[in-house]
Amino acid sequence: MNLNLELMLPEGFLLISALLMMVIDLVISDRQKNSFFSNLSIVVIAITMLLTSGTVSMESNLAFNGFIRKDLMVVLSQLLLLISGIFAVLLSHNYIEKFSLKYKGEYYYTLLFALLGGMLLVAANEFSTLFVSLEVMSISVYILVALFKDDYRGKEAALKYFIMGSVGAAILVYGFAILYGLTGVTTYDGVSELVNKNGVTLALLFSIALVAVAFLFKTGAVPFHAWVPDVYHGAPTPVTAFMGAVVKVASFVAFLRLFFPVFVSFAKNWTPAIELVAVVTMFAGALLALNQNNLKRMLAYSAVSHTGVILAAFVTVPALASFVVLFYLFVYVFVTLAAFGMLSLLTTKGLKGESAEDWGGLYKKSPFLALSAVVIFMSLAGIPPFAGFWAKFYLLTALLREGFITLALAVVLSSLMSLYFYLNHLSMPS
Amino acid sequence: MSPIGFFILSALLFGIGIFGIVARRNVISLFFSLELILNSANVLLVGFSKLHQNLFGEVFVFFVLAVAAAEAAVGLAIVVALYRLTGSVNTEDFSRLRW
Amino acid sequence: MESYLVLFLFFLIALVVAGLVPNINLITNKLLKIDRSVKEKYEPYECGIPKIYPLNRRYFAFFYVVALVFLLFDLETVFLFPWAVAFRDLGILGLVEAFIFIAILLIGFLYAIAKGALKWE
Repeated sequence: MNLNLELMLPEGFLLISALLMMVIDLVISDRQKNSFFSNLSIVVIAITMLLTSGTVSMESNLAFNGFIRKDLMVVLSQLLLLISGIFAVLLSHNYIEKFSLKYKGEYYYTLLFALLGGMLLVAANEFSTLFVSLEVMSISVYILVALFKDDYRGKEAALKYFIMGSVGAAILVYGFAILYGLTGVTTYDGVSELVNKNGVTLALLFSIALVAVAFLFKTGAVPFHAWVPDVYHGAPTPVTAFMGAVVKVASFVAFLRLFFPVFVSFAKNWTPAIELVAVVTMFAGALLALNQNNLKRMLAYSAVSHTGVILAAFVTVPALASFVVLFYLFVYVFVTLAAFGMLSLLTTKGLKGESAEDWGGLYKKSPFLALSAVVIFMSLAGIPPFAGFWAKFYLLTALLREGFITLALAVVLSSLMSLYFYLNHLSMPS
Repeated sequence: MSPIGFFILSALLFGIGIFGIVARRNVISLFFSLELILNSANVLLVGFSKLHQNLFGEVFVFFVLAVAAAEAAVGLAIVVALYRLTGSVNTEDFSRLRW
Repeated sequence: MESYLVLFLFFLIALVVAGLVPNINLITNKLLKIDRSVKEKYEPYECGIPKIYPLNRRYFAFFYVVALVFLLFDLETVFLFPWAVAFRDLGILGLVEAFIFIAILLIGFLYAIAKGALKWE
């Protein structure tokens, strides 16, 4: 027995605080709930961040008999998740003030549960742990999307997200079942050892395909991207920001951590498929974003396009993928939070702000917001001085170093195409 | 004991589930199909657990069952909320989010 | 194999019996009754009160919350069975973990009561 409970201190603290918030929610009066719970959530997340930084170490540690693995990448991505959680809470406070929400306490602690799921998801080192934490995160997000009362759009988005996400999860379990059948164990270490011993078989490739399909569902890559625009559009804007940041980071990191140690020795077998999906995804996202009038839908398609770019980094396993993907996600999270945060700000200030026409003449109403819009969109498109450029720069150097020249060209081309629609939105006449 | 029966049963359930997801328009039927897919995986896990003579698969089944229940509860709650707003449980009526 | 055959036979007999018993009433009734069927006999209220609305209308399933709560709490107990099987091996640690699990469930239960999910009216 090797529980290593002290490694799980941040997650435990987050869980207990969220449960306590459930109890506090029952006794506190409704009027002060919003401010109280948003402040409390920020404090809780901040303390969790402190505890998480305490677990930083250069070597990888196992907890719960090897079901959880904590190394530098895990802790860094957990910190990234927690930071995005704080920003999502900050955005939510004003949004809830504006659009009165009956279940205020529920909103905040469901958000904390989603964060907990994400933190466990990136740390998972075993199939059932991965599945349960993925579902903790997803189910919490379904609730968040549907929570606002009399909000038809949110409910429809929640239903679509629910069906797509659950199908993905079910396919994931099926893939895991086949992998378990091939090896007889469920930890990553055991599976990778036995799988390497047995060599490539058709059943193994089939199970890898199923698992990959499930993660492509979650991250919104092309054959399975249909839910992304509807869900991003229908969800309340702070929740959209949360989804765009937390869910994306957690699923991508879990994707990488499953494929990188376990299936890396057959990288030749699955990288071509990932490559194809990546190219199709980035171009489809950029093309579909071209004639979107609604800003949230446009940002959703741009998220699809970015998913393709991040997937392109996957082909550089084993050498560079972890670093490139984590750095890209790091930049992408902040830009996404900024973009949806700005939309949320415009909505709560009563500037409406979702269709492109509303953005005409924004500079006259609020020069600061207009300038930050320029910075955010330039960063999303990847124009040199901004952060988005450096993320793409590292990605391209990694691709070129490993000799994926066509893929690098595709990334550049799709970025140029996305530049067109970002600029198109910025140059809206008033 | 030959495990081939488990494979066939689970493959059949999986196929029926996927077909239901694609073909059905009633949300409740979609839920049934989802549960079918999850349970096909459960059948497979239990079968392999028997084959390998260890319990990892069966424990996984416990978790899948519990999670599926939570998922069904949340999904049904969403459907009830939508039904109150629109009076329908047909997915074709839930397509206003396109413009 | 033979033991399974016996089991199967037993199952078949049980099926037949289970099919017959609730229907014996109906079947004897059918055989013995005097047939005097008029249209009014098939109305919902035989005493003659006219019905106001069609009886096959949809009605709202108010108790669905109770059903959902039941579903969840029913299935969570599934985790207590493995603990019961491995009770001796896990010792005091297993006991503590089971109680933590029950405590989390209890918070959910308190929440359900406080929100009025179990009110019968």
